[in-house]
Amino acid sequence: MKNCERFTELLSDYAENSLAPSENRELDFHLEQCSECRSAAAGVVNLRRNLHHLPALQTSPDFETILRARIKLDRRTHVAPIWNMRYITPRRLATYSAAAVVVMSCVFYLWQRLAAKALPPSSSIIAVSQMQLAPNSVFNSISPAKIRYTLDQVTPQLWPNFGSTRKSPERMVSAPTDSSSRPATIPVSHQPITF
Amino acid sequence: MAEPFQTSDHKISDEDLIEKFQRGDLYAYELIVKRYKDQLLNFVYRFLGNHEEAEDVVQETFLRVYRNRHAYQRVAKFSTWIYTIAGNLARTELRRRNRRRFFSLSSLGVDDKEYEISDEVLSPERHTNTVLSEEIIQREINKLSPKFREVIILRDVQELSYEEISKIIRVPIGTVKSRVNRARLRLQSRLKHLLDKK
Repeated sequence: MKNCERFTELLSDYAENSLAPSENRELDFHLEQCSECRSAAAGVVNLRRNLHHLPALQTSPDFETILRARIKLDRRTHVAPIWNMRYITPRRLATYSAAAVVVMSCVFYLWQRLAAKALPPSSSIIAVSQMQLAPNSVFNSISPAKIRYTLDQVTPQLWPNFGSTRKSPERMVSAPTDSSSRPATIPVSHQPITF
Repeated sequence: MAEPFQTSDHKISDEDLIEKFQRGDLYAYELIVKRYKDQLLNFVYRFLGNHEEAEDVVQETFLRVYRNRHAYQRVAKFSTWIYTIAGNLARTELRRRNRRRFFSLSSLGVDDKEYEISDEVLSPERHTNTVLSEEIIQREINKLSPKFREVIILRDVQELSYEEISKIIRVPIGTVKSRVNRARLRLQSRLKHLLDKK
């Protein structure tokens, strides 16, 4: 019959009495006319009853003794993974990691801001470098012969010999010395010089 | 497990018991074992069709509960959790058994025809008028595919709700209902000759 396929889908609900009243009436009407579906419906009801009355099995008397022994053995041999610890679940672990990343980023950002504030402006560097060194300054102990400068930070007047033959970005440049008249002034351009 | 099983312990919910066990109360674990060992054995036995294997799977289930007790969270019912563990282990055991059977059959020669599994012929006297022979039903259940077998056992033998079955096997309720219906129709058509006698 044409409707049989549709009604067989309802047989489980019919056997469990969970069909809507309208569907129930419809199915009842169909079952009166279709012997095959009627037989199937009776079979499902009967089957449910039989499955429900299957004899219940029981575990063997030494079940718990064996289980205890297995647990004892397992405790000796099995090392629990870290996420089995009560407060460390995979989800929590991920949350803690994300929080740690956020905190570290904030700390890094604040540190950067503070470091930027702590640096003196470039004008003050020039001012300091143009100062005359006091006779007992620690800078007097620096050999006046050779001081390493970065070429880009030395004015062209200080390296006329090199002219356009600049080959490497950094060279040894002899600082102008005046051994007779210490304290000396370290000649600088308006560019900042770094030691 | 020295303390006797008291009747007042029945009042404590499974969820309270597992919480106690999580706090280190081993007696609570013993109560859980007593409550669930037979239920789980019936479920796994109907699924595997072998008592020894079923008991071994149930032992393993309780061992997993012991080992992973802190993985349980109260958002789910404890019964759902333990049935999920048992179901997974039973499925694994079934796959392992099928692999073993495949290798042992493939290692047979041409002359080993006597190894073929034959259906046991049961005499009609063994069938009662009230309840169908357990062996016949079990044999027919074993012929169902695991996905149909699991739902029909959980629904008609264990009598769990569709909602709980849906959570245990992690499929939508609609799919569970459809599988149960198909499993019932398949089973009743195979047992028709016996069901009609009743």
